[in-house]
Amino acid sequence: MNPETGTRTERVILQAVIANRLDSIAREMGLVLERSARSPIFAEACDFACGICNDRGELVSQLSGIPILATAGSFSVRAVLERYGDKIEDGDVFIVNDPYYGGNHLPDIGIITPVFDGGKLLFFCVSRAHHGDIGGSAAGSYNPRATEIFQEGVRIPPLRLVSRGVMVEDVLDLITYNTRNPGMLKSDLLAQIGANRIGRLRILEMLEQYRAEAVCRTVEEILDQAERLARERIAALPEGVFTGVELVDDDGFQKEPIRIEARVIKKSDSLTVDFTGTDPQVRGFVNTSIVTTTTASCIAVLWVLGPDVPRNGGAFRAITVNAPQGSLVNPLPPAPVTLSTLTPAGEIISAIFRALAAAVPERIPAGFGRYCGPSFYGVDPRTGRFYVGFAFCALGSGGGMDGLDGSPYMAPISNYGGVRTPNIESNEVQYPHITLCHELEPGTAGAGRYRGGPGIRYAIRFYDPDPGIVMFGDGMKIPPYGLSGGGPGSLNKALLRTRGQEIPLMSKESPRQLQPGDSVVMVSSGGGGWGKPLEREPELVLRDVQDGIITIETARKTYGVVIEKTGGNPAKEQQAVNFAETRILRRKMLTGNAG
Amino acid sequence: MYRVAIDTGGTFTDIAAVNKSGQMMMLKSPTDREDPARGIVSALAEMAGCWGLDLTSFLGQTEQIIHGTTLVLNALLEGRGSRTALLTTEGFRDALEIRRSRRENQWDLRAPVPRVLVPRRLRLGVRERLDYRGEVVIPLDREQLKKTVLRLQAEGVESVAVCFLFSFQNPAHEEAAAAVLRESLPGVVVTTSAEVSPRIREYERTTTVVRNAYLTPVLAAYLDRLEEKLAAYSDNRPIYLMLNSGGLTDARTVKNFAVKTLLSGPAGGAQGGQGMAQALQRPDLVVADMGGTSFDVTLVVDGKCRQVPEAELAGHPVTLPMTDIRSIGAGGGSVASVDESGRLLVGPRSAGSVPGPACYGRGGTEPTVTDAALLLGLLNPESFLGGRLRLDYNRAFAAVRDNIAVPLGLDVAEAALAIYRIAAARMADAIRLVTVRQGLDPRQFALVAAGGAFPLFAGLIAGEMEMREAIVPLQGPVFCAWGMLGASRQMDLSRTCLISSGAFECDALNALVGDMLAEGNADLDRYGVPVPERETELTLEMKYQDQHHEISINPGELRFGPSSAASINHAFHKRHRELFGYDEPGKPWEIVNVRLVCRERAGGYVYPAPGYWTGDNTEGPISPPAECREVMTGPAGWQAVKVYGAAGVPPEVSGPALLEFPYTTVLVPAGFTASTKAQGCISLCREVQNTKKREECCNES
Repeated sequence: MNPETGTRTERVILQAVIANRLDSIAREMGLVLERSARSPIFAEACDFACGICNDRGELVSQLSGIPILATAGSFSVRAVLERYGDKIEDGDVFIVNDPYYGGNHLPDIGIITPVFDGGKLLFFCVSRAHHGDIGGSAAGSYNPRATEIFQEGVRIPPLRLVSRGVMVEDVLDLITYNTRNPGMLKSDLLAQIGANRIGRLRILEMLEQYRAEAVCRTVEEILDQAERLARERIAALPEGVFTGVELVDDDGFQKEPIRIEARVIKKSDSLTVDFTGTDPQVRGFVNTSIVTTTTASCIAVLWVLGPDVPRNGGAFRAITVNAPQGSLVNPLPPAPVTLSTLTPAGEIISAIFRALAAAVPERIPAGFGRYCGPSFYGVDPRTGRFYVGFAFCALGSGGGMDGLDGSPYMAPISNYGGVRTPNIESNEVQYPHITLCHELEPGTAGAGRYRGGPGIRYAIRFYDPDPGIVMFGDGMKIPPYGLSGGGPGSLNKALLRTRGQEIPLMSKESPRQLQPGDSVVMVSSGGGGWGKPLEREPELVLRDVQDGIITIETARKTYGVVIEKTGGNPAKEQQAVNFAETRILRRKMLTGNAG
Repeated sequence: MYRVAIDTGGTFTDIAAVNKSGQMMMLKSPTDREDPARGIVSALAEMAGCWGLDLTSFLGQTEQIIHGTTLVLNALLEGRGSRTALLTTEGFRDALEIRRSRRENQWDLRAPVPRVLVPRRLRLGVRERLDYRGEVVIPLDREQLKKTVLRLQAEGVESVAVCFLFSFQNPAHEEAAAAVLRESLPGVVVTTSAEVSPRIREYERTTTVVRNAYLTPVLAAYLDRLEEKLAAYSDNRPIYLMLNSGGLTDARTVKNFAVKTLLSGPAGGAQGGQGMAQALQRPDLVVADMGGTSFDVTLVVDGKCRQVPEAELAGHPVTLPMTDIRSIGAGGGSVASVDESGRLLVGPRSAGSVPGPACYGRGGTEPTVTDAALLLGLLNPESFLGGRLRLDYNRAFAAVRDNIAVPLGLDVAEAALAIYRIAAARMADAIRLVTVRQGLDPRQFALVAAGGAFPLFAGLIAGEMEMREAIVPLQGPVFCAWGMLGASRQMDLSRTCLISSGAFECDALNALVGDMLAEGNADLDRYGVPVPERETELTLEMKYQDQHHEISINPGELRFGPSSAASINHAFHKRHRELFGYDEPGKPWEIVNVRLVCRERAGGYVYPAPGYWTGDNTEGPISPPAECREVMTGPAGWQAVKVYGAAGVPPEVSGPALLEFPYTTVLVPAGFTASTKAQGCISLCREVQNTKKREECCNES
């Protein structure tokens, strides 16, 4: 074999081997974390991400985790590099959560472990996880009344938590003492440190096996390849400037919607997302740190570029984000930001999607539901212990796409497929409430040739003596958008049933004390529809009627499909499409629309 | 008397049979895809012939037929189950579609979701409700249930799954509903979640019971047909099915529990791993089986294959005890391709057996691992699959050239080498995930190479993982069937109990275990297993009270007393530390589930002796004189290596060399020595530390 091509063969092999190995390591870190953690939002709902960064903080591999945390780890590592630089030592572990200094919102804590080989800093293992409570003035740390970050919890700039292998107990105690469940937070930080420790060990094994220089060089090649592919895909998009706008309901104080404007500027093989034109920062907690704005922008663009573009720092290089300081999407401290990973992260993605829908509509889904539901807290009469939990089970649904109906229960898009909601049975063992209903809701899906996923009806009744709830979320005023002629999805709704009364709940409320026996009912958004409803296959409309997703009347009025009951077994209402009448009705509706 | 094990896969039906005096015969016969039962009968007839008998007298002298099959798994993957309905607690009928919001691939908005086995119109709520203790909140509404029954009748369902909330605490409502269904819908299979898997977490329990309902009629029909076919030759040969857990259960029982046979085939391989551990006196093994499409890895630790309480199969969880088998899409048929970023990918897509690798000449044009192995000189085109298939070098060459070499700017041999090495690396990663992920150091393990294709990789992978030894058992090509001969009849039970350290009552735990024991023993009574021949294994699944996932603890006793809390406490913290790198003594814990295995003590394994292969290769193994062939497996380029035929393998061979057996070829890499061991094994041992390999890998720097 001639030496030059031999080199090339080895390089091809090493690239595949090392890319796979890094993915295996990130996956293993995620498994350790998931299986040993305590906070339900993190262990049960998997609201975390694990990854590996190079010595400059560029993300090299991340398999575990939810999309909106995709680049968050990278920012945390860069903050540590910025603050500690060459003072980082082997055996150190760092902690950070400040949204203005390497974090995204306070409940997400980043734990960063440097990996040295031969005295040289080569990699970082990073895990970011959402903890159940990080202090502040509302249990669960989603505080719709906060007007400053100080009311949202403990703010941690990049700090050394373990120094050369020894835990800095002072730092650990200072943090945990300021939260409602210090024991749980401590256990979960130990779990994060444990996951990083295992990641570090695996990287060291890999470095020993393949030699550090070869590994590092290969990692750079992997990043370059990803960048090249991302740029090729960008180059293939139509040239131009595309603008998309999405609204946030409100910030819990002002009643007017808040505007996010994304201008996507595509020039040759680079792409810029410019948020000039977005509203200024607001009083309530729907501002978003630059970390979340950047992540939301990158993942939105990468979803459009295709699933095979690796989600690593190389691909992110091809995307520039311009978010004016003092705006909703890059606020100045001390603006509160806790809701940002849900809203407006999802709305930033929406604005970019709606911009790119003008360029490549076939790749863009219609709108997804937004998160909205209470955190609940109180003292569990079965154990006498304080509890705080979230209504994860009230998720909305996904929008339709060209060729594909929306998926139920996949909202918000910022969490797409990464969270895992708890079982009803686990919830009832864990919290003093009984679930009344958890089922798809008819009449919620946005109409379209490819309809949205139907929303969910979810209701729980509390039996503890003194339950409390804090409503947080969005999407009670602005529905998921329809696309290419499709209709919008439904709005989020919530109400309180107390002593025979029904009280509507708002998306952002002060903590509210309930009575035992009260119940909270939530109906989440159905996703938006894609394409004209009159073009939906009549057989699919029939199936939706049979499945109880839409009514016969909707089939006729919205879809122009005439469904009839036919004879046969009396126990079974046979239904069939009347194709002849459907044709006539659809023609009539089309011309009616035209006129 | 004979014991016979039959492993029906997608391509081959493998049979291994032993007689009382410990002689064994094995054969491979093509699977009859249209009618697998017919294929089995003809393979059995061939096997009978090997013992000089006709099928009637062979079956007449057979005391047990053990059967593993991929039929159920394939029916699931291909969507060929029965028309199934699901009854749930009213208000909760959509768990299957809600899927806890999880997506395997978060980056592809178009990625297909796993098939929902029951359409919404056949998922019906029934008014009833239990609380978390199993106490009735809303009684079962029988009037409404009757209306539901009429609806199911009209819809013509073949099978009904019933899954109510908290039925694992109190199955009364499920049982009452099932009784009504059975009475009013004769011929329809009815299955309840509490009888399939009485464990907490309704989504996982629902997917499990729905799969059972969906697949049970398929398996039952197949077993009826198989029994009928065999009855034509001899009555009442008891057939035992291989379960996911590695145990055996009789056909009658399994006809209600098809979901317990999803891993029926590969579970035999894990049992075989236990057999190898005994034979080699090596308690810790990685057993790896490379077939046409998948690479299955399982561990034997302390002489036993590992079990997990639940696993995900084909996109949905199955919450039943299972042999811990990890499968990746890496087999002889795995397709190599170059992605748009210029990265070479191997698998997980497979060319299957039709069209198969390009070199099969059945119309495949995409390059596969088998094609690469052929181009590298590792396979003899004349003797592949015991000479059943002649490999076409030119087609393999064209496939690799057009799809890999040209796009990457490599020459064809180098491209083939890259495919081969990347396949090896992926398999090594799979092994790493099952070992290191569980805190186990692969260097403590020996690698058992099963399946026809894996012995070409085993030495290299053992080297890469710094494992000291790779072992190629001569029964490797029928390893699962052989392993099944070592399995025994067993009952796997699992219950949720929720007992916490703060309120530890040994009476409650004893009562639960007592119930489970009675149930397990009832089964063994039915099989006629004498009491001294029985053994039990109890596992507690525990967690810290505020955790969400359990870890498994062996309490070492079946009856608990006042001191048990302390010993359980100790065992739990110790295990937690091992698995996750930390523990928190003093924190409250709880026992979530109790698992119990009741089984017959396993008989010994029988190992192959010379002449064990039967069928079309009995004519005496091909034994060409040792020849030389040009082979490339590493950056050193082409090398002349010696090739030995089955009959001509000397007791010790230094690598590089190839050993050709019917159905398999063993690569002895440079730096390894192959030696023939007892019990029909070839052992590949490293001679030197692998520092040299590292240099090779990095020779450019």
